[in-house]
Amino acid sequence: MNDIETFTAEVRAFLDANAQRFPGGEAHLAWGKGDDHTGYFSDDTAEVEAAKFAAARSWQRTRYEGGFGWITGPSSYGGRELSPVHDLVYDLLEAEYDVPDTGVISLIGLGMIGPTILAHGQQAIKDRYLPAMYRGDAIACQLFSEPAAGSDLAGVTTKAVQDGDVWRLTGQKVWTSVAHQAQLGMALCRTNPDVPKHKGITAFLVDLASPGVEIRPLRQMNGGAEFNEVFLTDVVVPDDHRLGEIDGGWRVALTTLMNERASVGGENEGALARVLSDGFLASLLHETGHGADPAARRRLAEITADLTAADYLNRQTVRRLVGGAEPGPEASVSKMMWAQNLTRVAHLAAELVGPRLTADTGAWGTYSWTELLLGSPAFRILGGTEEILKNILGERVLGLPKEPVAP
Amino acid sequence: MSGLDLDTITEVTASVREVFAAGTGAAVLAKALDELGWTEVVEADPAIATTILFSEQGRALASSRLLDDVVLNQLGSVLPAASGSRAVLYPRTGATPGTVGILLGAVEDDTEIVSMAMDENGNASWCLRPASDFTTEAITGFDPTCGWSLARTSTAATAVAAAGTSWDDARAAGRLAITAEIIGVCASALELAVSHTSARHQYGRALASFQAVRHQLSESHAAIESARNTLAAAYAASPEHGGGAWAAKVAKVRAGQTQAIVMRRGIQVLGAMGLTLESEMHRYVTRAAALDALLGGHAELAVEIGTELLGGAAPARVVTI
Repeated sequence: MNDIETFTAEVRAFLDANAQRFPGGEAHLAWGKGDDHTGYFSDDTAEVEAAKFAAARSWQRTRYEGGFGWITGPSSYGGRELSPVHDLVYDLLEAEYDVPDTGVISLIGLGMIGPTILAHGQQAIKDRYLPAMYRGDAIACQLFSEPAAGSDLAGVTTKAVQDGDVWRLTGQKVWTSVAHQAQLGMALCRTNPDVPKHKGITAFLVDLASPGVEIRPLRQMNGGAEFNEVFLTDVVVPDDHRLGEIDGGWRVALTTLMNERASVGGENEGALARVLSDGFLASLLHETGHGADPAARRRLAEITADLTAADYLNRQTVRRLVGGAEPGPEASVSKMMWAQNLTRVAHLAAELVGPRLTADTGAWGTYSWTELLLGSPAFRILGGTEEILKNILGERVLGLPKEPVAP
Repeated sequence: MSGLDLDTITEVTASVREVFAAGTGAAVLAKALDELGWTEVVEADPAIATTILFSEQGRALASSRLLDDVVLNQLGSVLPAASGSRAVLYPRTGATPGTVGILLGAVEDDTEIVSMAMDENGNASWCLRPASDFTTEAITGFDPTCGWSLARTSTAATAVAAAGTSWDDARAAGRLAITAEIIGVCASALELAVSHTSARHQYGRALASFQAVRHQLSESHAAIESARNTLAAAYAASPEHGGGAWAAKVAKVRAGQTQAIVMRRGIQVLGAMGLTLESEMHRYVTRAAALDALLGGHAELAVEIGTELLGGAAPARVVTI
């Protein structure tokens, strides 16, 4: 047995002992089975959302205690020191079991901020927060974007001023996912306004229970409120909570963003796995009476071709990462494909379902597509807008001349 | 995994590029590939070898009957042994298979033409006839440089073998090779668009520094990458249970869509220059369209795939790590 086979057997034993396996492979993804959610973003009420977070944290704790909480992490923090392939194998196996979706805590907190703290945090901070995060006790969010610093992230103006052995943070962050459920935030702040913008940023880990932190939800067009505005007013952060060097925050942010690009595009858990499956989409055509519609058939086939491409590209990327490569520009292609595929599925469903999309008649698999449709514009924006990704591809892959920079 | 390492692939690709750049008379091509030790490359990794060969043929806008070899390779155990050279008669949509079709290049009078015919009960079989039984005319339509000709015959032929699943296999292999060729045409067209928009200035800036232009080129790149990955996925797909034929169809659809995107964008960013024959762009546009139509255009194949999906076909995804 090679090491992947041994690992697979271990994962199976863990999952069998702690979770219920779905009967019959992907049968639970079939049309008409279970709830008919299609969304990536939640539109849950506060109570339902709180229950889901509790379930996610509890399942993360179970994983951690079983030795699967941080498969690629160092053993000193409960990790296994295994490769991204082991991580992927775990995800593939877990998808066969009925377990809580942990995306809300794992995507940003464990997938992006955890590795950043590991790479740039001071020893005491790593010891204190990393086990807590991977045990499911502490959720971390990203205090990056600001009203005037979106795609141009290096333009952040939230100020951090040193005051003895603490820093005082003042400013506004926005579009912050899961801040309302988080205990920690990784903030990018301006520490030097007199140097080029990339060189005057410092990163901090902020305890969101500190005085002066105010979190207000932003309601989205799909009905949910996963996004927030975060106001920081003279928030005190000890210097040992600084990540990386003073004014060296851009490098720290790049670590986070690299982990983001590597993860967005490959995340098709839960409802998304279902709406992207051939069988489910074929059922959609049949159930909406479009089984004999050549135009609809053609679009179904085109989506299938694109899903095959995205699938293969993601697996190639994992192979390259395992081979020791840095995440490269193919991650930008992958994210573009992911957003375009989901958008096309949403639009196909909207046309096939027709007027039933706009009023909830209670019929399974009709009105529920609203979630995907109204969530789909976000796919082309989150984790790097499509415009920015195309700029990256244009400059780094095609070698096009740079855009003139504003003086 | 590939039997060839990355350095070898790069090296072989460069050599094949030179071969095509030097001109592609059938004899020249065969000799040059021979000198390159092509047989060994094919033995080491047939999928990569075919992908390189056809991508480079596309890149160079060369034409040859190399596709015939790919198709005939699949028929080795079906057809009687060849006494001389053979060529394939490709079906033309809407025409009776076997009596009218497309030849991809010049043939000798004694070349055996391999064609697929259908009897009144819908049974497919393979026929062999000498080229002298056919009259040919050059195809002078959309892509006048393709070197293809339309061949007709009124001579009845006796079936030499039932086609069975060999037609599916042969067509699948052909589709994958054409997919690689379309990718090559697209990559080359994108390079032309990149160099044009990087060199030409308007408003005091390179055209490619405008997002409206660069984003179109990035979309083309993403479309080509998508096609490349579908092709690699198809080669990795198991040929059991028709998975090979299915995956090949999906790859050809993706390649057809890709050329539509890349050519539309390419024409647009070249502006008025791309519309004239002085620019090379039209050659890519017409070649890609011709290749898209060969062995099933993307629109037609997409309807077929959709029909199969609705009929319950559940292609296994490529999940081997």
